[in-house]
Amino acid sequence: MRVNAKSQKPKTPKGFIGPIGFDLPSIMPIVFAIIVFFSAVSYSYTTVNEKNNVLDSIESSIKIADILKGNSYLFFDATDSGAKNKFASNCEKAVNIAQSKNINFAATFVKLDSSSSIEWLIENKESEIDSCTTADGKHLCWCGFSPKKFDSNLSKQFWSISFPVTVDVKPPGSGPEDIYPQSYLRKIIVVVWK
Amino acid sequence: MIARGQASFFDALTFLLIVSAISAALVLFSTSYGLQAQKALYNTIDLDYTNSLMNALLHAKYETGEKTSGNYPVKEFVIQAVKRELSFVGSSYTKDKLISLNSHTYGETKLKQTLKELMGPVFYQKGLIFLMTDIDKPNDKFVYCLFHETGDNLEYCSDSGFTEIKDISGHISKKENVFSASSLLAIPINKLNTNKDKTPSNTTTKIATFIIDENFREKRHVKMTLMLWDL
Repeated sequence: MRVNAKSQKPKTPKGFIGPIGFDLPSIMPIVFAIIVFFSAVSYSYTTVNEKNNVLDSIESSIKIADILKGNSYLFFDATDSGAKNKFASNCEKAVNIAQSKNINFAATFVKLDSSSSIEWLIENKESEIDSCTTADGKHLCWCGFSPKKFDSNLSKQFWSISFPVTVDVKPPGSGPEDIYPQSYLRKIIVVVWK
Repeated sequence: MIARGQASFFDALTFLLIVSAISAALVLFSTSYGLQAQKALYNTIDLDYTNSLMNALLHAKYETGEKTSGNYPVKEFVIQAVKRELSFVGSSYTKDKLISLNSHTYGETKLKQTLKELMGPVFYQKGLIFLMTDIDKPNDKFVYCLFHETGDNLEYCSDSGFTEIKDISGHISKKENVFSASSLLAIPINKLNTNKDKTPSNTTTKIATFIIDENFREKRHVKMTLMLWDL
């Protein structure tokens, strides 16, 4: 008796498309649901992280600006690069805060209606106040870290804040009895980045 | 009779529905996350800015090049406000001429522009009122005010003098002859300018006392108040 090899195979029903063929209609919504869920989780995670970063930056910039400006009155004594400069002592405190929060910042002074580029001022450690450099070349009107380069991608992650302050400057060459003869109403600009 | 696979397909659909709802809730949560905190931080910045501005004005003495030993914060404010480009600054600082700021005599457009710069972008979407009054002579018209609309559209509180303000608010103590924060808050802004219908809310007020020295011929105690509100 001849054995038909074909007839020995299990008979598959018509339209059978594999072991999971009947489950495909159920699997597809499940897979789709999983994709949707993980996309939502990923999106939420990214969004919350970004917002936390922004909030953190805002909070840090407020804190640093608050420390730097003090009571909104600052003075610089270009005849003495030491302890007489209130801004320098405020700056030290601000640097400590920034380090503890693991953020970078830079701060300088600009005119109220300044048209100067903040990027340029910060890159070049400039301020819009005269007599800000001591005889030994120390910058008195500058605080923080200078970013290597303000490229367009980097600047998107920057957060800046400004507050008006009054700055009195005792220029180099002033005598000890001289009052602070130069007074400026300026904005202190604080730029914060991670 | 349920066909094979049919029940699990509907189960899967239900699963999809539930997961979609959870995902939508997650997205919604992440979108709204931090908005309140951000608003609170912006309010903090507004408060800090107002305080800084007032403190800076309190300490301001004179601009570079003008060597005097006096302390003239109000003069400094006026100097900053008008950028020394207006005729009365640099010539004389009489009481009348300071008051004449209210009379639109001296470059109103420039004044508005400069004040806008002075107040900074944080105030662009804020209303602002700036008032000065003489404590010793409350009936003098020594009030200057303005409020921001948006961007370039600044409105001027015309010639609103102390007396008019007093009449409007009805809350200013005649005995003390000073503005109180509560009385200022009680002034509806639409009374200050009939074209507007804005009421101060979330207002920040700080009052500072100045002494205007001999450049104004006499010493005057001036109370300055700065208010802002959401537009």
